[in-house]
Amino acid sequence: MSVKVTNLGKRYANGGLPAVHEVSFVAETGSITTLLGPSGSGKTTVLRLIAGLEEADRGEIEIHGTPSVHLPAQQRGLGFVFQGYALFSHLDVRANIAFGLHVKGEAHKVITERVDELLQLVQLQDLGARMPSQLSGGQRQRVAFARALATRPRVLLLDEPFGALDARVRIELRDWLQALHAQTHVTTILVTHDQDEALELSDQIVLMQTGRVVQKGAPHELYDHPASPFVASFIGNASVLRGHVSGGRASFGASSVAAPGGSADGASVQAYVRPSDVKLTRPEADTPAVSLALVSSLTRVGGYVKIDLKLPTDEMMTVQVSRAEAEQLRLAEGERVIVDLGEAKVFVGDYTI
Amino acid sequence: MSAAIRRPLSSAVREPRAVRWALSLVAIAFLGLFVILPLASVVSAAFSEGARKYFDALSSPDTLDAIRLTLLVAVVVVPLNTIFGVAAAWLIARYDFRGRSLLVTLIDLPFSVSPVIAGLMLVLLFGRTGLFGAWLSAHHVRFLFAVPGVMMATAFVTIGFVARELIPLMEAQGGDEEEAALTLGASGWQVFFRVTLPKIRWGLVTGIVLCNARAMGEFGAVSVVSGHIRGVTDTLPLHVEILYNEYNFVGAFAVASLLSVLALVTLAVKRVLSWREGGA
Repeated sequence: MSVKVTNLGKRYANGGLPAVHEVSFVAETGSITTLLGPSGSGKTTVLRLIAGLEEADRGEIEIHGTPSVHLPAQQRGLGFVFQGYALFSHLDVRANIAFGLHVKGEAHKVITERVDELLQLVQLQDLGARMPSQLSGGQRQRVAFARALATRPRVLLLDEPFGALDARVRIELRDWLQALHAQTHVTTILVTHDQDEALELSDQIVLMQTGRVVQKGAPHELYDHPASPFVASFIGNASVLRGHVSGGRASFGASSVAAPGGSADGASVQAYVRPSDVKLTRPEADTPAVSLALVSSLTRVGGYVKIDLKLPTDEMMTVQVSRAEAEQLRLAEGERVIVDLGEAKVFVGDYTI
Repeated sequence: MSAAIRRPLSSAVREPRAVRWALSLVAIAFLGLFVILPLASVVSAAFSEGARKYFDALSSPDTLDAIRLTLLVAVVVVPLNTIFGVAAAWLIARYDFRGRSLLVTLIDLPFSVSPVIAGLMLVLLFGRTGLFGAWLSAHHVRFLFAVPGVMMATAFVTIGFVARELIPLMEAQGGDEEEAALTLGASGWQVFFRVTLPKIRWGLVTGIVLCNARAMGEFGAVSVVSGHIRGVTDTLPLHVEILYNEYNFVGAFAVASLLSVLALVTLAVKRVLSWREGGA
């Protein structure tokens, strides 16, 4: 195992709420682990604790088998990519990348070769002499990666690495990061609030809320088997429907799905329905109108169509279908459709998120 | 360090031409009357009896002694206050601690206290009847009316220059680059010399230049503690007063012109530095 975090705890203000509480997870060698959560969930604090930029109040951090919780940041042998890049503004790109090697006292020749190698790796061969202020956001980010990788760290820590970039560059750099990781295989821990980023990049997701880990596992595990309503709502932009159990099924107005095992008749349930979980079909002539949902608005978003549905229970739900599907169903505002909640995640009890 | 982008004001907030001319005229008139005219009169009075007298006045033994003492005071005081200023700015900008705002206020105190009072405080502490007076005279240490007193007074009034220049700069820069350096394996000193110092260098030089100008030009506080002993505790500003009181106007204005040149050079350096800071 590469990084093992056990019962990590951190409190900023005396007597205040803990920023991080009982956080444990293992990041396997060569894998990408993502700390995912809304802002204020403590994910960045966990990363800074691992890096040694903050001091843990309690818990253990093991890096390649070395207990590291009391090691100073300089001795942990980690690479850290900061959200705001934190490039040295008075040094050019080459000197930025060379910094870690310089302070280690590496020979001039070694440094030159390594910097060349890294410039190639991040595809910035021609920009070595530029100052950080002369680079675009995406280029700065790649310099930050190169600088962090220069000393061959055993673990790479990324704090919202694409947070400050626009959507197109984000997605480009996401692919680039995947390619980079395939080349370097360095164990990576990534902090993000972007579920798409987490789902696409991670081998493991550690989902956090108010300083605690709420679920950890492979992306498809969290997506398909959310452990709590929070997980279900955070991953996949779900709409929430309220209903109750009757005859072993959870019913929500006219639609129903299998109730969770062991739930009693009459218990209140909530369904978390993701925009892509729902199947829409055109009603037959004899379908009673009360069981149909009303298309209240229809928005084309690139290759798919976002549909706001008003259910017979007056609840609103957002559904997403491909354009081809929407055309085939001849969907239009004011039309009525049959809603199949087949993939909805159902939880017993009343929750507020 | 990014300079604010200057763009011309939109016509909506621009004043009519007549108002602009009137405002410019007022500003120029004031500057001319209160800055340029007096400065010019200093120079013209200094040269009123010819260049030879001017240079004679500057090279008289007493004047040379005053120049020497002024330089000595600056050489001792400016580095001390630079070290203090960097340390204080570091503390204040990077750490949150009890008494932080008290420290900021204390650094500003010498700016708001009249220099004469600063001098009197030293007299109260180190004078014959002062707190340390008995101890000093028992050990035959001369403090008041001697060079150490002059240095102490100068140090007091110039203590905040470097810190005041650095605190806003360091607060604006934050500590991200220092954290990055730490994760790259740099030691505390390496972080300071390779990251922090280069980042604050122009602000630091500006602070040092201002501190130096005040150290060489200070009159009030030094006047109280020095005792005006010619050739011993007489700094350039004090020397101007002595010469003036002796009706040696050419001498007084010659030394004054020297101090004015120092001030102009200081301003020029500061101007160039703030331009560097904005452009780099």
